[in-house]
Amino acid sequence: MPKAVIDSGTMISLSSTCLMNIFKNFVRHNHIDLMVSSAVARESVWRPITNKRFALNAARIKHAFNDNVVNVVESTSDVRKIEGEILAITNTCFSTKFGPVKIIQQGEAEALALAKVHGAKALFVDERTTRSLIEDPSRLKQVIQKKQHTGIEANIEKIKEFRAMFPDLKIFRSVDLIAYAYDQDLFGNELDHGKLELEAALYAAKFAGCAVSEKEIVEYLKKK
Amino acid sequence: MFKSMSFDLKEVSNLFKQKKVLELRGLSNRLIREAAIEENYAKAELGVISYALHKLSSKEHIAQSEKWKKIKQVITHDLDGAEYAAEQNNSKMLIKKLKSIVNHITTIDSEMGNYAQNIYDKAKVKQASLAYSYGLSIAQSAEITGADKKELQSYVGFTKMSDEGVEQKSILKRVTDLAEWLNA
Repeated sequence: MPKAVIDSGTMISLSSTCLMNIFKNFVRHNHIDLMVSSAVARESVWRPITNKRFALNAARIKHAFNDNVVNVVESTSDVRKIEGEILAITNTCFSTKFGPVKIIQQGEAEALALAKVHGAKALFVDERTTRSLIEDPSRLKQVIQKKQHTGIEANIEKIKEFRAMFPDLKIFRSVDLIAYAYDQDLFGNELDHGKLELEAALYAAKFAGCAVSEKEIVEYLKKK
Repeated sequence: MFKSMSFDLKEVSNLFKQKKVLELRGLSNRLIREAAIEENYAKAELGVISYALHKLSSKEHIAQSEKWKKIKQVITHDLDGAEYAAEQNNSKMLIKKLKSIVNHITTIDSEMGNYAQNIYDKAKVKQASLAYSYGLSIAQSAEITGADKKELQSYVGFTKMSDEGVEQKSILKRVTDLAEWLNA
């Protein structure tokens, strides 16, 4: 059974676009053991469910937990230890003359630690920063440097150390999940199986905050 | 070298008194950039305050009201108090004064604003998106500005930020990887 960890952002992208059924079909059809940390569960369900503005989204995600589509995993001392190491390394990867730039937070570090401890080979994460750290730290350096108008020093050793922690971790976004679910004909009880529906679902995920460019979507759709 | 907190507070106070609305917004952007680099929560809060003050000052029905004139005096007084606290390195008092300004902003907005979501919350999300554009993660950007992560994610989705730069892997490549991983 393939093991994966999912970040709160990806679940929020899917729930806020009413694509939870496709998500559930995808997880069940592929027999994925999908985990979230208890901190992510708190952040995406238990806290927002008390706020009328966010309660419906949170309730949709809660349903996925209760349906055993996603398993909430309690943070162990092993996870917390690795989470601490990840934070210590990642937040010293880049620095300016003012000191290290703290780029990721406990929640993201916990998701990565969970993947490490449980041997998950995939992480579903919609936001750009964590993904870039794993896949392309030089791009992240360029982003920080360009936007912050200040010299950025990359600590190559720390970056190598971090990447060595996750040598074969694959990163996927909600749009990748939607696209593959379409290939597997899993839109079933939510949408018709058509290119128009695929396009609509991909753009909905983009507008819900999945870091994907319009160019990427257009190029992908051309090949369908 | 970045400006000190007391300098920035004086700037905000002066621009606010002089009704230099656009300059307040520009200053807010600088404060957020510096806060993101320095991981300076107080500066980030001042950046959000500055943005919210710019929004309130630019709304005619608010800016011309008697209530606003009174609140403006109180906010200016708090800004001066915060500046003094920053000069004295009294962070407890500084935070207290900034919180007081936030309270005044949310009070006038709830009394006179036209939207269900208040200006201060919107300002947090707007300025958090700026922090995100500087390379911070969504969670870190939300944390430093106090914005809601879900709202920030959604806000970022409607910007062109994800269209900047070139992705290392296309959707097609990731879908291929996904299929390989699942079928391994």
